[in-house]
Amino acid sequence: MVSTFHSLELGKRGLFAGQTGVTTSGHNIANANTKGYSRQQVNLTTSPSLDVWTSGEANSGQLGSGVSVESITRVRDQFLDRQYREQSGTLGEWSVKQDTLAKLETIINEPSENGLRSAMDQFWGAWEDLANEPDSLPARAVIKESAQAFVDTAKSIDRSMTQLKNDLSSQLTSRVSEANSYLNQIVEINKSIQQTGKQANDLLDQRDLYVEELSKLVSINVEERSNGVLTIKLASDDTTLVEGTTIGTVLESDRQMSGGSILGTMDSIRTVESYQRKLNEMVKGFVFGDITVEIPAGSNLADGTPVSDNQNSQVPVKGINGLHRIGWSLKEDENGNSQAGASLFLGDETNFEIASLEVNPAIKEDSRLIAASLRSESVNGQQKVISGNGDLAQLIGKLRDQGVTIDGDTSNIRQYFQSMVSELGAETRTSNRQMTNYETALLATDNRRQSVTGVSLDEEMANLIKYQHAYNAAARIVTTTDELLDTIINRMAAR
Amino acid sequence: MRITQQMLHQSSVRQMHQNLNRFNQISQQVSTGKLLQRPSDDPFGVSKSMNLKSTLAANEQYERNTTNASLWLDETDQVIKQTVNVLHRARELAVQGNTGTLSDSDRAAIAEEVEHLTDQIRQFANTKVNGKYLFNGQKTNQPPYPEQDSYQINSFDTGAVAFAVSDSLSIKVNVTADKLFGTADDETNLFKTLTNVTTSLRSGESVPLEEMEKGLNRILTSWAEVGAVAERVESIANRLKDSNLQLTSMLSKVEDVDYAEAITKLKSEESIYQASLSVTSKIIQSSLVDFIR
Repeated sequence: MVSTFHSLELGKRGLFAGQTGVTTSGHNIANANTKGYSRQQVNLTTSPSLDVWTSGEANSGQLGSGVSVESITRVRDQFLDRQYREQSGTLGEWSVKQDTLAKLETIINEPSENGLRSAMDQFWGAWEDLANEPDSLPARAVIKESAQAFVDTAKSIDRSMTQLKNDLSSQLTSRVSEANSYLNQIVEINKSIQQTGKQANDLLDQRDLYVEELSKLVSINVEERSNGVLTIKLASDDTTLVEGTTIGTVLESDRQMSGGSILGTMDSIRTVESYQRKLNEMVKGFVFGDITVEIPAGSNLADGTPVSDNQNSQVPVKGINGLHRIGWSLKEDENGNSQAGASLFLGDETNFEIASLEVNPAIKEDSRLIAASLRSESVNGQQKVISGNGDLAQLIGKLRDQGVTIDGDTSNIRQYFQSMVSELGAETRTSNRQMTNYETALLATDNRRQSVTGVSLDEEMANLIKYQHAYNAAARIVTTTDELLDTIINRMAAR
Repeated sequence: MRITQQMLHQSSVRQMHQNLNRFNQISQQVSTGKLLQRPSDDPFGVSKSMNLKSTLAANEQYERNTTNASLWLDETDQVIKQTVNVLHRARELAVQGNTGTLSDSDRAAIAEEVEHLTDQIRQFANTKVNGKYLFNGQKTNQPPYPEQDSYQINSFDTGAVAFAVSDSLSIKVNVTADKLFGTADDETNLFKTLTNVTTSLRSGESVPLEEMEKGLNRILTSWAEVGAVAERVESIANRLKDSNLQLTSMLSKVEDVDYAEAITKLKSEESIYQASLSVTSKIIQSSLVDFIR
């Protein structure tokens, strides 16, 4: 026969289980919107039963002793976690790339009426206007301004690209240090988990959150050891980053890593560099690239290159600068001789940089140094330009459609720029699409994960009521036992 | 599948975001009238549109050039016409001078008039338009015949004044003095023949007419050439106008918004967005909490 007070104990256990259930539901509800939180559930089990005498069988019967709380666990699917980590790494990579390409598109600023294309068109147009009026000073002023506008536009694009590159470099540094700080935090949590044991639900959630944030930055492999601590390795070369409670390798920004936004940032820096180089080569080709021009018969060139009087001659020159120097300007030297055209642009041909390119200051000061003519004559011992000749201006205007050596290949500047823009467009388009795809995939995984680990308020409310009723009923057991005891103690003894 | 409030919230927000994004895109198209905002909208289209714009800019330049060329040719035409009129009068006088019944004073008067006409022709030869001498080749800042006897030396330039009218074609529009009046050593040089006419009138010799006829023929040939070039320029100008129209309509096809389509789309995106708002407002409001009292 069991103790009279057995039912009191049983009721107490029921009360306790009910209360744990209510508290856990409360915890879930309170953390419904906490990042990385996974819902917790109370696992109840019957407490060990007592052997009691029963008449029916040879063996003794079993009398229930109530309920006990076996564990409180979080509901989580490790497989979905791994999938989520992989996908968020890829998304991190592509979202940096996409962001960079979109910024490049804004920098290139095409199609528009104030981009580089329109600046170049205006520049060519200005030369053709000069060809129509070879001795006109206003037409020269327009050339000067349009050359300046071209340089300004190219420089501003180049500057923005440098700026973007610098931004990305500092982003890379900060992302790497962010990754290192996650590694430290994971190690700290590993230590705490080692002390508190594997059922530290909230710590586990916190650690999973850090691992997820880390996997957005870089591709990693995660393994859980039997004592609950994590080992984290780089996916690219298996370098150990975290081994339980110690840090393996500290990440550096010059290290090759795969996946994640760190790789995305590295790739983006390379992309920006490649477009900047293309632009640089294009402008270099414009100023210094090899061109062959057809000089009309009867011209005489300012640099003394001999040309035929009877037929057109093919003359090789170095870019627009070289072409301009074979012409005669309106400016005369101290002896009264007409001067050759000055270099239109100043820049370093061997280490060409758009940033240091400028319109020749001498021309900015005196636009008579702009040459339009390919003929001069000797008048009283002085070499004088024939100012009505506009052949040079026409030749320069025609460069619009002419092939120039750009980066070793011959292509025309207009088409080079167009193909650069459409290449950028195609690349951006791909990255947009990739990002949308990965976003959708990640969302689907996250949805499935949410379906497992997320807190459903409806469910929690139902649980709350369930536990509340259980609690009430357990309380009733205590009351009933109390009444039983009252019968025994008060009624039976009073007699 | 177990659905949680967070999932509902997340997907509603995402869908609203997507709908708003599409709504924004189409409304941008409607308000700017342009299909292409950035290269990734249509990489090929953007490159095509850039190409068309550059071609259009070049064409507009060529159109300006043809206008300049036409102006130059018109002026040339006018001056040659006047010169030819004067020459006809001079020939009449020369023929008259050959009539045997003229007195010396009559011949002197005729010689006087021919001299006058010669001077007038020299003025025509030195015509300046927009500050430029028409018949002095590329030396447009100097007259071809600065002095009365300049015709005896070749004082003029024969360089071409040409205007580019397409990427491969430039048209020479000027006529140089040698083609109109003849070179210095040419017997049919108009100034030379006219001077001969006056001298023979004064000296009573027979007036030479043959050279003059030849000279007149040369100037008429050049005149006809000017007319032919002018016609050519005119037809090129028309062609440029046509091709401009064509290019503009091609450009418009590539980058302009079809308003009927765009506005219909805008309306539909708008209603989709509003529907997603109203659905979201219903979904995220209620949970079991609202029903348990």
